[in-house]
Amino acid sequence: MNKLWTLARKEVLLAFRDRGALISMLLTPFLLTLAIGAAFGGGGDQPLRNVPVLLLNRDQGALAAYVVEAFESEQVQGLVLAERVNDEAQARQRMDRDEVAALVILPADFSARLLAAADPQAAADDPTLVEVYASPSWRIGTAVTQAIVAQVLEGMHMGVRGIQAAIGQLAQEAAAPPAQLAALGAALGQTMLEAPPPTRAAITLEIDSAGYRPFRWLDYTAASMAVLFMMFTAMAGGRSLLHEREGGTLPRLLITPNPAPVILLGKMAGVAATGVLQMVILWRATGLLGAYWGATWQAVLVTILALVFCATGLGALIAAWARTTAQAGALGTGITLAGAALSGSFFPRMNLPGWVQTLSLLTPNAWGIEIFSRLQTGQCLVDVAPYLAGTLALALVYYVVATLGFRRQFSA
Amino acid sequence: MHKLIALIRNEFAREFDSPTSWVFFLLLPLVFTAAVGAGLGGLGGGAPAEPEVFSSSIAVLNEDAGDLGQLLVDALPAHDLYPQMAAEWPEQGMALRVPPDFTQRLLAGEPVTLSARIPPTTSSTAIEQMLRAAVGKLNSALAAAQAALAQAREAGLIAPEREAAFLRQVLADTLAAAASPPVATELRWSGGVDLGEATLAGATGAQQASAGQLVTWVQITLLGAAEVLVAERLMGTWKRLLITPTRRNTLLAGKLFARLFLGLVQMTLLIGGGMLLFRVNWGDNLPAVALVSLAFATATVSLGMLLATVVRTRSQANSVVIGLSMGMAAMGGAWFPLEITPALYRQAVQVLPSTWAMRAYTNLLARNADVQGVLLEVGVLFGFAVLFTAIGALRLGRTE
Repeated sequence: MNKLWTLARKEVLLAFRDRGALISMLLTPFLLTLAIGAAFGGGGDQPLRNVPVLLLNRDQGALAAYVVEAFESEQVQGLVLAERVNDEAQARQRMDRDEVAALVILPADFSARLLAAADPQAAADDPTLVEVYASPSWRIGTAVTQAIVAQVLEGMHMGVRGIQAAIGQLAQEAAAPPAQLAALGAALGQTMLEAPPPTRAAITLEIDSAGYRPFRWLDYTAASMAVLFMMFTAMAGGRSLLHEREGGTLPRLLITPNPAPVILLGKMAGVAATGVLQMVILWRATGLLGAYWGATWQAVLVTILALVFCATGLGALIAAWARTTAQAGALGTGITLAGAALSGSFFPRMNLPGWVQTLSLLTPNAWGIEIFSRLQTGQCLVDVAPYLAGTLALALVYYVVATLGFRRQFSA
Repeated sequence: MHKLIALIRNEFAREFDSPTSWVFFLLLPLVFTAAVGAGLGGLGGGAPAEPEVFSSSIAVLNEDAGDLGQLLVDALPAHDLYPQMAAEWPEQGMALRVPPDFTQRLLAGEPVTLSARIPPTTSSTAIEQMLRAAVGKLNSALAAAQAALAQAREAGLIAPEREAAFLRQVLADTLAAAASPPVATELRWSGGVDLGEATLAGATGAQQASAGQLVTWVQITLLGAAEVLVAERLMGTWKRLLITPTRRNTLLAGKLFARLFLGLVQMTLLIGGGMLLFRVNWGDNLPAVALVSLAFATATVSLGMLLATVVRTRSQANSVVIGLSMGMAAMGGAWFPLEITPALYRQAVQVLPSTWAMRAYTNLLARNADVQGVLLEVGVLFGFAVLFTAIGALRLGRTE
């Protein structure tokens, strides 16, 4: 055990005394997390802020004003920064200069078309158009603007058609003379215009999401960057074995009284210890930036241990079957980066097609990101236990294949 | 000139002395482009891409004594939520409960509360939004229907026993009419952009990914000039080269031009790969694409030369190159659009060449810009090249 500990300690000291290794192990992932955290305002639940939008109201009626008010309401405060304009030419010039994300033009017949009762189907076949003149440089801002306009239009349309449906229903039942029904319709319209939207909500939704946390870019990036750069460390650690063999120090170690398995285990334990230390440091350091990794430290630590065990197994597998250090380096880096791309290291994993998510489970990157994502949404250790088991099963496969490779190497 | 060409050829030969070099040079960037494009959506899209619709099932416990609860349940599929009726409240999983007095309270014009459980998963936010959209739509229809019922009741136009049927019919008619609005939105793009029917206006996911991964990976190749120069210095071969009859500037130019050409070859392969494999439309102005690529490559290789005067070992050089490439790519808009970042952040990252490169590429992809449309970005990138070369040459002279 002493020998094992000594060998492992040597590996850890070598790693943490190398400035270049420290830059790639700790500094780079931390700075990347910091940069992405700064890009998303430290959180991520509403990364888009103050999208500049111009509003041009040409409507000859009163209803388009509600679209304008929707952009100035409390509900979208902070999300859009709306400005009313009157000069279309000037507004379009500002658009062309990319000063604003979108110009919303409410047509002159907006109210008239919305209120048209004579032939609703004809109106629907040839709708009047609210033009959203947008900048290609503001793709997401444009989508937000369109969504707000669409939501307001839907609400107004439903209100108008609701009144028309009610009057139509009463007319069908001959509940009152046409004149009285017309007056009722007008009164309803006035009521709808005067009642502020929030008080009209008849149905409210209470969501019980105990422990549920929304997605945050800072949390996701902190974990995914830590996993990625831990993979680099594990691959480099595996490579060091080949380096020792090429440099002649491994044969010297093998003629010492220490059995070969002890030497190998010592090296792998050192690589694993380095990986665990790296991830723990990144966990705590990004925690200072506000990154959330999981509800309990036990869940995070167990995940780190399982993940590092798995990554070290992959590093050992490559070292066992590669012929040279350069070959091992290329393979290790290639697998790490490809795994990172397919696992969702750079964007939410849930956005990837299902088959890509499944394929990526061949790599430790995917398991790490999957488990940390679940912990970050509020799941606990018991919830992620099946995924931890998957990680350990993959590790077992790696180590079995690595053992076969090492036996072949040392018996040769 | 002969010496320069010989130096460049030598660097190319060293770069591709093993097949694995092609993995990093071409295969991995294409894999990344495919993966990032899939993640951002729009993979394979030169034609408008249909986004993958996210849907989910939800257990529904409808305890409503009346029939308006069923109206709510029937409205859920329109928002990609598929109800599975439950006889009792499930112990776990996603669920929605409609209370027994749902219809009664709505008929009375009183507010009513639905209970939902959404377990913490990575799609919880999306499911919550879908549920709120479904409820919001019903609220809009209800607002008019309840107001109509209240007025009709006040005017004595409707018998109490007919109220539920009246409300239900009005709601059903209103929800049905929602599919045919008389007012719709139309999106037009500014700057006289006419991208044609076959092209999705604005950069698609694949376009964003193609440009972003181009910037990320080519930076690694070009900044690798630092590793090359540091290796030569540490091995002592740089000093040996300096004592040959070849001038120092020729030697330096050979190293840097080799890196520059490597970067340009890689860019060409990635742009071509993006067009062929992922149908990325780089626009009709390939000369503009070439000019931006040349300017960006020149700026980045110059930065590589500057880095070589700062780092001391190969290990440091490798770490700094990878870190700086990924960092500049991430901050410059190669991994996500800068429009979602704060204004101050967008100002701060103007100091990075990658920011200007992404701006230029976005103009080319999203606006079909020509050479004139990217002249500002090209000018700034060449400016970076001059600055980095001047500082790098000065420092290199001092270290020798």
